[in-house]
Amino acid sequence: MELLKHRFRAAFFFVAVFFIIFSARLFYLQIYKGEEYRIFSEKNVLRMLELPAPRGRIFDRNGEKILYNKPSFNLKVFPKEITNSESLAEKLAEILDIPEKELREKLRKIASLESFHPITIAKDISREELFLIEKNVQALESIFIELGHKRFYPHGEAAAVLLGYTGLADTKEVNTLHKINPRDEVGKMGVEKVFDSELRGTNGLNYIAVNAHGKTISAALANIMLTLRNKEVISGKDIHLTIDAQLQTTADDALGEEKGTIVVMDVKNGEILAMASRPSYNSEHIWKKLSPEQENKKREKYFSFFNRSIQGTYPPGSVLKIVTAFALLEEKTADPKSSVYCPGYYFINKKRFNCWRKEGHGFVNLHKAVVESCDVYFYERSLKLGVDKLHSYLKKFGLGEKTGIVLPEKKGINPSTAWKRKYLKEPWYKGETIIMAIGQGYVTATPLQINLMTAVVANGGTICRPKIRKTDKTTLSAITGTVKSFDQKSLDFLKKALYDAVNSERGTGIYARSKIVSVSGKTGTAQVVSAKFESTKKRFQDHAWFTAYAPSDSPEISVTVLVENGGSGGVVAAPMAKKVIETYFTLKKQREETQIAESE
Amino acid sequence: MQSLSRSSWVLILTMLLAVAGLVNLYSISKLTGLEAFKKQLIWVMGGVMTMAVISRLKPLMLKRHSFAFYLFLLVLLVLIFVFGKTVSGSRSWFQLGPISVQPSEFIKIGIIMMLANYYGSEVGLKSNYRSSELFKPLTFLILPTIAVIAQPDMGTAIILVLIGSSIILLLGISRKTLLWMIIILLISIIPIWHIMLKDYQRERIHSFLDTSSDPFGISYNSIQSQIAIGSGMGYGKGFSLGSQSNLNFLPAHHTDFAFSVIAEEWGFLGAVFILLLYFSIIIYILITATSLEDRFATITCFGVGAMFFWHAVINIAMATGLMPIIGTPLFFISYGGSSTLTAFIGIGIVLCLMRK
Repeated sequence: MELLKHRFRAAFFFVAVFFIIFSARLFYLQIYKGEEYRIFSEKNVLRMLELPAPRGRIFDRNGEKILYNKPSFNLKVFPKEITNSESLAEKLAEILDIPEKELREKLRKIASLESFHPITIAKDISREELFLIEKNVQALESIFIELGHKRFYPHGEAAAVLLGYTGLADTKEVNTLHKINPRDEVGKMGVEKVFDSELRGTNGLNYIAVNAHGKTISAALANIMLTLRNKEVISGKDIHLTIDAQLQTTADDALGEEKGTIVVMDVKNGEILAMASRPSYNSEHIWKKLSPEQENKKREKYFSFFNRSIQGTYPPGSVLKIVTAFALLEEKTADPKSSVYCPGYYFINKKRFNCWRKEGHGFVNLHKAVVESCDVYFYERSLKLGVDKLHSYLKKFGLGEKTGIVLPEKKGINPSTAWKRKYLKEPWYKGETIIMAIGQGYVTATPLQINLMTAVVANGGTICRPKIRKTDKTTLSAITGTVKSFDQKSLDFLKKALYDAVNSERGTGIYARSKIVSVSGKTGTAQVVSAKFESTKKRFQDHAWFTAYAPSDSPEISVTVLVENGGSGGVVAAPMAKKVIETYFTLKKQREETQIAESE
Repeated sequence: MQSLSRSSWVLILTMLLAVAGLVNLYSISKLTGLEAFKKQLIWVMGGVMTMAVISRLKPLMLKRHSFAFYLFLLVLLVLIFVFGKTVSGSRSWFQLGPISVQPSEFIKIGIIMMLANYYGSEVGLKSNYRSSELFKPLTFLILPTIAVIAQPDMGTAIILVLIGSSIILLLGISRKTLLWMIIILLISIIPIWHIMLKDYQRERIHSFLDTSSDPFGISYNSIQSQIAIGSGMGYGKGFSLGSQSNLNFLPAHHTDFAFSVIAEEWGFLGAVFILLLYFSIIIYILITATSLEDRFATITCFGVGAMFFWHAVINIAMATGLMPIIGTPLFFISYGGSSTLTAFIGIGIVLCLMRK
């Protein structure tokens, strides 16, 4: 018990010490510094301003800015400083382009908030409005102008789907992301979302004291507040993409008013040079927050956030014959020399399957079957191959698997007997094998997957991992991806066939033929509904595909075009690919020339 | 002084503080209305009655029922995750008709009695406990603390740990055990930080430790509180005339920052007077603790004293800008039903133990 008494004595001492500390602290605040605090509290208001950090800029592969910030002036109000929301609404209605009734309601709501943080009344006000507010600032209590940063997209809709947009963080984002407050701007889609943590900066913090007339008097505060700490703004990091802005614009132009997508990739390292998707949207509308009716109106006609190249899955149609042909060669199911007679149709169990060419192709060997895209040849030969063999080759070419791009993507369907049993609880039928061989039926793929598949042929057997971000500029970007053993003889056979598909008399892709550069490619016209159901309605028309690489002898780029309900791949998609390919090589030549000119 | 018994003094000081709290709430009712004042008045009346009832109990009954009391509150703390109500991000309340109850306040008393029961039951006058003997008391402390952290309510969790450790340290720990505990604590910080906590939880702790990293609130509120206190000067601005508090620049002026309102309106004199009342009660409780014969009674009494002490220290240090902000009420002065009732129960227990 002696020991306990000893400890109690320590406790009494402890209590006394704290009593003295607090009394001394009160003496310091109230007596020693009291006068200053009194003057401050009678005349001034303390404001805490958050200084928004600019997000990082986004550059294309040539250092061109494709997304950056422009200053914007946001009108904000301190809820706790509002004494009369009615009169404030009245005064503001004279300046702003907002109806007085709406302002009244908004301000009444804001004034009732138990918040010390400024709330936005109007974003991105005009210079005239700014001028009028600055002029009347004495009458407009509790108001201030924040210098913000608004995202500016110099290429507008051409890259909007790829780049994405930002918005205020929602509750889920506040809870899961690092260092985020409810009023912060975060990337919601596309590149803005994927690289958000780097693009986002750290907001600064400024304490200011204002007098009754809204004028800043910061010195008075600094005197009495030794502990006051302002915080510097830290800008977000810049991001360099592999996209070529000019090629992106060209691809977007090529699509025109059609719904669809064009993907261009460097076959040597998987760098995405262009990724256009239509319809797109005007980022200005998102920034300004259109009312729901306006937004719906827009969406009806021409409004989409959907990146068709990676989030759209489509039946690949005849472009899949590249893989089927390779499988037939590898499995020795088809001797390139032997032929099949195509009368324009094929029967299995009395069920008729048509070739796209009603009058038939006559005697067809594998080469001709690819060049002229004969369906009957593939019907006949794929039956011997079987669905599960075909499935394994599709897998080898990366179909039905994620490509590994950093953006959110779908993986499509690479069917097999096991797949059908698992998901549809049904056995596999022979008729399903033969339509799968020509890219119809259950099989679906994203345009990016088709592009990678094409690049495998072009680069001699590497499944690239597609990249949209330029990594270290100093080191040469090596091919990243999986090199799988592809038989070079089979690949050479395919290369020849794809060259002829574009460059021979009867090839299906002749509209992609170019005088500038040699092009190899394959067309596809994927049925949306069964052939029996003929319709002239646009939404029942076939999807047009064209996938190609160039130059034919030493390939550099692969280009894949998909036009939703566009009709014939050879007629609609091939010319678009040609335009993009020609632009790429023209630009390349121009850039080399200017480089030489500069170095001389 | 001798003419009045010690229990009368504790009672007088308690009532003075309760009245000061009510007057203070009334003085800021211009803005928030009389709602808070009326509610608090009812809680105070209920508290006085509860205190009266407890003070008439037999001390032995307290000891006998301490385990049941503790267990009951622990179960409530768990049930809160099923039936609880979330207020400003923390799931700490039960809604019972018009009133909301916060079990994490009452568990403070529960922990005190449970620890007193454990140490009071020991045979002999043992002191300086070894690690094996600390397992039980630490469990009694840690279980409710984990539940409170999960709500999440850091402020209350810290108070629980402070009260519990005060008692454990009063009874003493052997030097070897103390060393081991420090080492284990230091080692466990790293894995807990990296594995167990989620990003946003780490963020909360960050902003809790560094006032400048959280732009929303902490430093701003602290500064506003200091302006309020400082501008009160020697004699204050007068009843209901505190401009900082009444113009609503002082945040949470009726709860966490109620002391700042007193300091603004009644000046240095008023603030020091409240401080004096508060610390006098604490001293009286501690003196009572030393005078009691029974070990359980001594420890319980000391625990209640520690509870008042830590609440006062954290709340006043926060209001005067000596510490980052932790939402902790100042008993009797801050508005809040559960904390007021807890304070009265604490005093009731002290009065009960004094009676002999």
